[in-house]
Amino acid sequence: MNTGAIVMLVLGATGLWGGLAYFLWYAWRCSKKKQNVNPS
Amino acid sequence: MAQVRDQWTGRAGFIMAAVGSAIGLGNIWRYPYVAYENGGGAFLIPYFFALLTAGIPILLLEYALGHGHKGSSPLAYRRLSKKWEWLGWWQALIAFLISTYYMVILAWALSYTWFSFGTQWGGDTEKFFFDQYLGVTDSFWNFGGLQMNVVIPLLLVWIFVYFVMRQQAHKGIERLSRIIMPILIVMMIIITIRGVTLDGATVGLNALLTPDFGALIHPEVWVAAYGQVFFSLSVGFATMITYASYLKKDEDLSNSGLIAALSNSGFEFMAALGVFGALGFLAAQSGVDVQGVVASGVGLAFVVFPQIINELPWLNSMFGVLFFGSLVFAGLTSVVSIVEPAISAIRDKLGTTRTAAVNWICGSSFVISFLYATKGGINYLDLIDHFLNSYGLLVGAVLMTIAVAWTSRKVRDLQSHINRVSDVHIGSWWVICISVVTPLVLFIMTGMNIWEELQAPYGDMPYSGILIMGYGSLLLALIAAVIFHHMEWKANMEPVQFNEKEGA
Repeated sequence: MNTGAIVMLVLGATGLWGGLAYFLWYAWRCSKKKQNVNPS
Repeated sequence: MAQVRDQWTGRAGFIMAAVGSAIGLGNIWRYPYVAYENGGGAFLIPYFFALLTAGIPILLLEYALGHGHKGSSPLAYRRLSKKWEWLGWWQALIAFLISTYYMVILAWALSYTWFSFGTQWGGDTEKFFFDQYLGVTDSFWNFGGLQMNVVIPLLLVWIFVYFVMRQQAHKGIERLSRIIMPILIVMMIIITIRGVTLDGATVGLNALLTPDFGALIHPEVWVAAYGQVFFSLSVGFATMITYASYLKKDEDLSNSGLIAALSNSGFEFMAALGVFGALGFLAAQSGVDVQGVVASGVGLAFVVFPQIINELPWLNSMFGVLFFGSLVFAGLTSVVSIVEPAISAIRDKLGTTRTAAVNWICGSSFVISFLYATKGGINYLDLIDHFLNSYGLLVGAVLMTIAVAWTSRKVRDLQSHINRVSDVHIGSWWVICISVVTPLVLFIMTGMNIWEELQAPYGDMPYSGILIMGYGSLLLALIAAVIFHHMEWKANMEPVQFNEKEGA
């Protein structure tokens, strides 16, 4: 693959899959916090 | 008697159902071609821009409408402002009409999953699909009778969808999505790994990803990006309004929306790698460049992919089953989501049981779907799909933003509602996008579609067909929407104002 294609692949993967991973982690962290505040 | 509203088991169930709705056939057969045709790797720039300024904002708007007003789309709009109830019906009816032919495409994909065993389509895949499988007639108005090759899988798909829809949302749609979505993602990962490791895949990946930044000065490229994001996210169908109305009172909206949007986009980005890897392989085998084999939509799935499967060195049938099976799975979770808005709307308006509403909606859609199972069916499908998407969905979405931001002026209320229940708070950028950017872009897209329509008849189809089936389907939806708007609310679900509910 040429350099331009590799750069765009990395950018796309980081933006989309990285973004998804971040917001999944954030949702998990918030639900953990809520559980700690309200254990019932 | 007051109805008990369907409810998801929790946030994960809602996200699964929303992602299942968004990930459909277009992710696999539309995005790769649109990206390739509009700047290759550089397309990611307008794509991200469109996702942030239109896709995610409009998705959150629909979540807020459904969750804040706790109703199907007509009820949600009525609670926004009485005069906009018809728009909720319009969106639900456009989705209903789309479901009538979407089921037939699922039937084709089911047939091809079976044909994959032993690559039953033979060497000439185009002739097989159009002449043998569909038996396409030579003129538009020659219906040619029912094509049994299509009718049988169509019946099978309908039986399955009917039994899913009869269940309450958390038992039917949610359970289906929870089972199918992980399998679909695994299938697509396998397809992608196989696609990018084939001989010649690099040529296809270079064609898809090499950036042509010069293309970004063309407005069509930006419009294509907005169009891809809009059609891919299942917005404008009233689906997300309906799905969000099944959420519990304090369930998160914004982070769920971001997860759903990025799952959808991440999936289509991955699918594009697999598709273009496989196209590069086919180009290498055929001794042509990628331009010579690239296609989108029905042509990509049912003509080009069978060619690719024929050329594979080993496990041809297994790859075929994976590819067409993934189309069936992606389509199933999407089709249930475009039938649901009309079912939910009928239940809210007439106070009927879920079973009765499902019988009416699925029954009507079932009968209409046989139009596309005739030998001339693919022509009607192509024409009606064009009109419902180009005008039905777009106009509905433009009016939705106008209704919220300009006539009812409830956009700040909806923003407050999202922020009250959500982990990720949204700022004024969302208000600006919903009030200005999104309606402007959607308006331009609609204008461009109308301009193209005036240049030449769509697909060289006869004007009689365009008038009767194209404009006719839109007119039918409009008349039905107005009739439903004026019907009496029989259920005990009196409209309340958004702010009153907030304080409740």
